[in-house]
Amino acid sequence: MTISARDLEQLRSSLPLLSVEQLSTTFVSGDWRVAAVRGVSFSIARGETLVLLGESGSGKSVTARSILRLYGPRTELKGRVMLDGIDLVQATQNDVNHLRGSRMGLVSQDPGSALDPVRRVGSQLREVLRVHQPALSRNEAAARAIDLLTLVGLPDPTRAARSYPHELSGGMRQRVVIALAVSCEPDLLIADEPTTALDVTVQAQILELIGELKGRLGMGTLLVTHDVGVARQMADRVAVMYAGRIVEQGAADQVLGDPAHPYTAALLAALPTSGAVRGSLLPIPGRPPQPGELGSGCPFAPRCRFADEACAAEEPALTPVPGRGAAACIRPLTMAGTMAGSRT
Amino acid sequence: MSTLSSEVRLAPRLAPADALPSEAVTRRRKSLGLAATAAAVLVGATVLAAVLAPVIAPYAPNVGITADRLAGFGSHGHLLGTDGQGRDVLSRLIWGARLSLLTGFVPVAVAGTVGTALGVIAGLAGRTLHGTVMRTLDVFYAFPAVLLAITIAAALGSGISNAIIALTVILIPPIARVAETETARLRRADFLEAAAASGARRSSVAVRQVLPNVAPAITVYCTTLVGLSIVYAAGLSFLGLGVSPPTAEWGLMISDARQYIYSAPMVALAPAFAILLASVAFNVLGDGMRRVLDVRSENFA
Amino acid sequence: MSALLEARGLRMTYGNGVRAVDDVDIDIEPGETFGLVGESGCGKSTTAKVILRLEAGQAETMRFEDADLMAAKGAELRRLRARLQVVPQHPATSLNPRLRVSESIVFNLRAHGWSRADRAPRVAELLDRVGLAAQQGRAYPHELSGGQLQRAAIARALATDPRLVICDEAVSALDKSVQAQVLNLLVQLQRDLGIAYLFISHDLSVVEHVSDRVAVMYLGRVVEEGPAEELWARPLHPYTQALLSAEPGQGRERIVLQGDPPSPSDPPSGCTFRTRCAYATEVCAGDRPPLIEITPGHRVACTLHPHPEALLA
Repeated sequence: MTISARDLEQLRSSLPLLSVEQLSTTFVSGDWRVAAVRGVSFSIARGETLVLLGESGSGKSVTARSILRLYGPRTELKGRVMLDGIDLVQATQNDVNHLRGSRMGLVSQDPGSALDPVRRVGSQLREVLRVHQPALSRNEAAARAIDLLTLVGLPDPTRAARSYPHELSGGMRQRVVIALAVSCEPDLLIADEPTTALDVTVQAQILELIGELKGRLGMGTLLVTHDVGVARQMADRVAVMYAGRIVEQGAADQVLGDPAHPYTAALLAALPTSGAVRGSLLPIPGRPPQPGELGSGCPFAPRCRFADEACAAEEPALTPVPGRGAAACIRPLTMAGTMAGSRT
Repeated sequence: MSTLSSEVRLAPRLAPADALPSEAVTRRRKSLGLAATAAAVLVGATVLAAVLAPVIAPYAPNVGITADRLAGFGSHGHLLGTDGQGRDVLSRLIWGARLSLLTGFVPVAVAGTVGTALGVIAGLAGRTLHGTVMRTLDVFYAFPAVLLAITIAAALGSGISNAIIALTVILIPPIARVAETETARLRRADFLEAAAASGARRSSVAVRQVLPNVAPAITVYCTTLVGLSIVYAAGLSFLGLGVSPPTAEWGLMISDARQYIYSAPMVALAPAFAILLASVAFNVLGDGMRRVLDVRSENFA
Repeated sequence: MSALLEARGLRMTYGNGVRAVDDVDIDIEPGETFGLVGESGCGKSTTAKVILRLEAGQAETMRFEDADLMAAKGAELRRLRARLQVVPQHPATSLNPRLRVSESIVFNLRAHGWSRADRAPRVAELLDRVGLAAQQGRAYPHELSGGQLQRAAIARALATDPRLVICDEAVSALDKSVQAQVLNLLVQLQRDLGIAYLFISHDLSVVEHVSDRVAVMYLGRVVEEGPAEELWARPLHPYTQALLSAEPGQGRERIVLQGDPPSPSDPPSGCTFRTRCAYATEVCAGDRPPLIEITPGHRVACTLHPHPEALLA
């Protein structure tokens, strides 16, 4: 693997905020082991949005949650997760708890479960603020809580602060969760399917809010989604996950416009797009493998139209593709034209 | 007795599903487990002994030899000794298993059928019928189960069939409640909506769609109730409301042995132990079956 | 040719006064796909349940295959139900977990008097039609994947030769790569069997892809309806415009609506969308705007598009 002088220069100029190296997450229950994430590496710079795109069971959410160390003792974490020089895999649970909230914020899919149902929204915000900033007085914390609720665009922040979570709509609850996540101005925002449970018009509001906050607070953002549209709208770079691995990574325009990995290409082709002839979608045959169903070769090979015996031999590593990002495929697609031609 | 009555009065809650919802876990083949297998063997052995009583019982159950009365444990020819009338305790236990098991199984079987039907109908019915059925059952719930059984048995007069009727009546409400809870849990499931939209008769939906989902939980619950029913039946016999002497029945055996409780406690302890063992065995077996039958492991939206 | 389903003035009011469906008209022609879109709580699924006679709604008229579906009871309703089927949303619960897939299909056949001898070949034919192997017919639902489960649910719906199949978010829970398989299957079945679909979804691109005509619902009412292509090319109602633009990752200029939909228990007077509408005026608070036909088949309920006669006056 060669690194050009230009690449080196880029590396120096932007030391990543988060760098994940060979992260593996294995769930253990008795003699039963499931490797949900198998050697994932990526980095996020300050102010950058990386989208982890994948279907259910691809390991995208597990990756995000592993970074936050949200799993219990029956989980094996391997690899390195460096947040500004601190290895989150090695750090003590106490340190991680402190970093969560102060330097990393989480927005998850279900706003209901992130909030305490029996406490008012304002009180929950004040608590988080005072845990991470003990110097804050009661009144300062209260004022800051209202500021935050204003920041996330709640129409009547004072009233929202006095509300219980169930008194708010789904969209408003997700705004509150975002307020909690950014309350201590974290460097890294991890958003795990933040809009999946929301209606499309509310989703548009929340995505706009996340984009706006990212700009204002200069946060790096890890956005986990299954929705290609969301990825297209939000991502600077995209990492596509399949069967616990990143199979393609690169600039959003390139990955979603001119994919190098056959899986990414097939996923895009399966989407119903405006003007597609009805009934002529190009589905991917079969279904994604479950953890534990993996053979030795490329995990996508059984569903790949380009696969042959060579693909079954060995699982390909994520390798740079000339002029594009990186793909884990022994024969990456070269040009959009070639791919389209070979599909007929 | 008061602890037992509260056992029945409390609406039974079945254990929550395995904490790990992963498919790989729920799909692993489940076995009964050691304790439940032992319990199953014990239940099987008791049933077998009851059926084969005429063959395996060393003595006639109701004929005593006065000279041998109150022989101790392990005395010659009488493994478990003899009672106050010189009857062989082991033989009476074996013969008694027939009636005790009968009073365990029959009320539960009848109450299981009636209770399940009531519960499923109530669970699927509109508000009025549901309310009528469930409130009527609540009336029965209002009385302690044992007291109710004694009252009914006393009103009907002593005798085994009356004891069985009394036990059946008190077992219907808790079973119906389990069935109703299970049915209500399914009510909003997509497949029941599809079944309702299929054009099938409601009775067909109840029998072919709902029942297979309710049956495992009912089976598990009824298994544990068999043990309880045996205990209650013994209690009724003890009070003279069940079978009448000299018939061999576990509860009656304890009652007979009362007068020697200080001089020869073993005569009472043998049937008491049999009742305890049967009750525990059915409970443990029920727990094991819960695992095997996968009760409460599907998630319904 | 008369409509397959002709529903006028569908209403569903719950006991607490919430008007989940408020005067909705739906006509579906034989063999067409009618899409129903809207956000959660807009009443699209309730509309389906009223049509399926699973909710006790009201209607001025509701005719299906020239029979009065609203008044039908007993044997007549059961007969109609053979022709009007549903594919539910959640793969995990759309089939009875305690029954084999084939038993779920047989249940529908038995309900309509199929003899024992005819059932087995019919099940085999249906499984084949939806692309399931015979072995998968013998499986229990937990042994199948989400896509296979929805195929099985489709096979069950097809068992009694329906003319109208209501797909209530039938592909929404599936991964996109699998969703495309099921969508292609639905289209193929429509071509082969001439069934009509009432296709309910919150996923706009899916509805656009499969539908001939589409109605957009907001707070229990249809605010716009028209041919799918035209609706997407020229949405007239401000809500439709915002809804279509909100879909992430497509070219439209985004119109971000303020706030949340109002509570259905206390809807605004007049046009229910006016509280979030950028164009709202006092007029909108007055009478409820009726659906007005702008171009053939394209109707909108908005004061911005007044009735031609009102313009003349």
